[in-house]
Amino acid sequence: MLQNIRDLVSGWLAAVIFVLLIVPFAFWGINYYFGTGGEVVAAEVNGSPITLRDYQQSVQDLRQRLRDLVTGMSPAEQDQFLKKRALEVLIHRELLNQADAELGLRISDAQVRGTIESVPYFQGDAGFDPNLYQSNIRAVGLSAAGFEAQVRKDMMAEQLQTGLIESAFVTDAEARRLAGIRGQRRDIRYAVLSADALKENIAVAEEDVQKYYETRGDEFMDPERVRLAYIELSAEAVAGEVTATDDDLRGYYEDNHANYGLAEQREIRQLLVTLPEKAPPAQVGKAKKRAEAIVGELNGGKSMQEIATGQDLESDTGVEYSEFGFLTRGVLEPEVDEVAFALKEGERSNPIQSKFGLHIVQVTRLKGGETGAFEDVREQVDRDYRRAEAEKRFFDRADRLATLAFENPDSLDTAAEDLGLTLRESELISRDYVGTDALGNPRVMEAAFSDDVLREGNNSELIELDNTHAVVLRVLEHVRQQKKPLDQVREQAVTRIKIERARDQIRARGEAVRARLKGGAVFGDVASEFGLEWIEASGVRMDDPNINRAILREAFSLGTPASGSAVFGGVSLGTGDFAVVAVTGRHDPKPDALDDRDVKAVRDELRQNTGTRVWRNYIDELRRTADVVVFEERIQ
Amino acid sequence: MDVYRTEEEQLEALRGWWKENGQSAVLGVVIGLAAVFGWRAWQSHELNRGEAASALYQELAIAVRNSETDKADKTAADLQRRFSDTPYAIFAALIHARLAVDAGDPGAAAGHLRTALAKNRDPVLKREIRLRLARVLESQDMHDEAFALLDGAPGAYEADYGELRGDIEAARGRIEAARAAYENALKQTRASGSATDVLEVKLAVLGPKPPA
Repeated sequence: MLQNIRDLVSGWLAAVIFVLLIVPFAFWGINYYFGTGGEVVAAEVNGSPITLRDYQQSVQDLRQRLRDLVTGMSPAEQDQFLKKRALEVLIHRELLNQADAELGLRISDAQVRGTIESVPYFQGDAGFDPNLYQSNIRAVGLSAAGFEAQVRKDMMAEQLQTGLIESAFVTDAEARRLAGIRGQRRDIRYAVLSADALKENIAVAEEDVQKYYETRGDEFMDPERVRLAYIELSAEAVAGEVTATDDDLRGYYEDNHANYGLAEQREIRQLLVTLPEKAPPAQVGKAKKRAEAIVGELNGGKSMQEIATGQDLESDTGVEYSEFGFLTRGVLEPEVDEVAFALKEGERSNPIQSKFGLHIVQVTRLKGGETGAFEDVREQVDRDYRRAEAEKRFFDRADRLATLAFENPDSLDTAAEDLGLTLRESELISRDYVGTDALGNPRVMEAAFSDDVLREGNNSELIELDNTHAVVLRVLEHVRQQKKPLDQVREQAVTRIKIERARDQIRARGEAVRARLKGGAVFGDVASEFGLEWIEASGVRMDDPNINRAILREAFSLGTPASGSAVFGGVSLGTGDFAVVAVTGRHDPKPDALDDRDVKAVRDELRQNTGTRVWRNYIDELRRTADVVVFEERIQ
Repeated sequence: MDVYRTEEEQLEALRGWWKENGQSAVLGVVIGLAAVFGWRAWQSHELNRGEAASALYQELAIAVRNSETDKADKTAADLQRRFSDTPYAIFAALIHARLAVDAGDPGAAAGHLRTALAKNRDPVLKREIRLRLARVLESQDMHDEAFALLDGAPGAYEADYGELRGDIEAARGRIEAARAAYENALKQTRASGSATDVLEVKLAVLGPKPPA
């Protein structure tokens, strides 16, 4: 069989196969044959996956950013809202990335570098600091490659956005058209028919009240309420129990004397033999040798600076020299910090390994570090000791409270007795209770109305309001949402019926007035017949601040009166009153007589809107035409 | 299966094979390598061009943002001339059109937008460019040409297409057609939760609907 193959692959066929094999590698490289695979997918956008991990990260980010914006929703609603938004954000981002790639946008490495080097977070004392950059992006869990890819994508999206938004314009015709409309004027006459007077004379029968109460019951609901039993624990309350003997204070002072005086500062300089993260052992070994050699050179009298400037640039382990100035404890990498603060003045360390490489540090000067004498700071020590003790006791108690409440889920009596705390009871309160006491905290209400507490009847978990305040609660009484009894709301119902009837009656009257005017009756006659007073205003603009907006809107939508005649309309006002409106004249500005300033103002206004509109349309259309599959069951 | 008995025979067989097929084998390798390197070189050439265009485009964006009109104008022209086969030429044409509108030359703007439309392959962008071209034509009272661009199902652009159709119909004096267009635009705008005041005013000043 092998011979058959051999026969086949000789000759021109071999050449063809060879070419066929090599081309895919040229296009896609070897990676094409190994998928990344294995990740759970939350959604697919035109076939590209959004991983569950990215989705969860996005929900978390959004939760932190929007925490204050989503108040006024129940926790369940908040959750749904956040999840939906988080997914939309990711879908939009993916759609934009795809659009950028489809268009063929490109960002060079140099452009990416330029952007990164201008980020304020990565600026050291002397401009862009590569170490700061590395440690900052690592702190948020990104690799340099991952971060740079993200920057590139963001830059592309920004290019697209710029291309669309910065190129948006407003034509002269558009600005003039709207300025022309806004410059229109009307001569109007209007009368307001008041509903107030009518209300007094409307009699409401009991059966009408009954009917209103039955059909419009949702206007008369009492919200769901609970009566709570709760134990409140605070650090303040336990502070009184703390006693402080002289020995206690001295002991505390000894343990914490760094707090009572100037912190020690050391002037430090270092040579760093840099190593990449996760360097292979061979490279580490090489770097160590290099560091040892440097120690030798330093012992031989060379300065750190000379070594850094004189280094062999061809060598693959770089050496960086830094002068940090005066530092307090805790600024440097922990490994380095420990050594640096154990050295004597002028002394130099041996190489210390950290994730950045091998450090050789030298302490050149010392300052600070003297502590205040105990007697001088006694008052402060006393205050600190009491606070620390109170906090300690508070945490112990809180812990105990949580345990007791959990172990005796049917009552809070045991917990209260055991800890010597008061068991309080609340009034019936609803979910939107706002009070200055502990129950006014939204977390308390969230717990009170949670399934575990409300339906199962258990004690709540320990609810930490802040670092020094905690509550445990249970529900004593639960009143469902219910309709208030009729007797309690009768008066309200009667008032509402009166308002509605008065509005209907006044509208009918207003329509009658309008019909008479249309029929040709003169204003004066109608006024005396219906007891009206006409208000006249000439040449008003649609934004006239002295006239009710609803009346103006009605006037401007009535069209054009014939010369010497009028057009009539009517509109219900928010108060229940009704306005009859007549337009006796219309004056449109001539297109070439428009005030240039007005046109410019309109143009500026339109231009502001047009940018946002352009971008929103683009995104909406991308979304509309995309093929998006969301795996609902996985993201719940 | 045949087995070669001696090394000489093997060598002889190999020589024979080479004599017969050597040329085509070498040719295959050469073609293969040429294909690989040619493709790579072309790709890298394209990439470099794309990146150069991208860098020039960044300059253009900055000039536009800083209202350096002359520089923006020159850079946009430069970008279109030197990198006409990149997407940045389309953006440059769009920006050029805006500069022309701002400079009071809608005729030139229409030219730039037509260039952009001809180069563009993106279906979403196409809707936006058609709308812009229609608006520029409308501003020159070229109503029929503008109207013709606003056909088809514009998807997310329905509100904006509708508003412009309404403007054109109103200018032509076809009030009821304008009303229908504005009303549809208003419906779409409400659905997307955007501001409706301009549309409402335009609709209001059309006057009341005549009795059916």
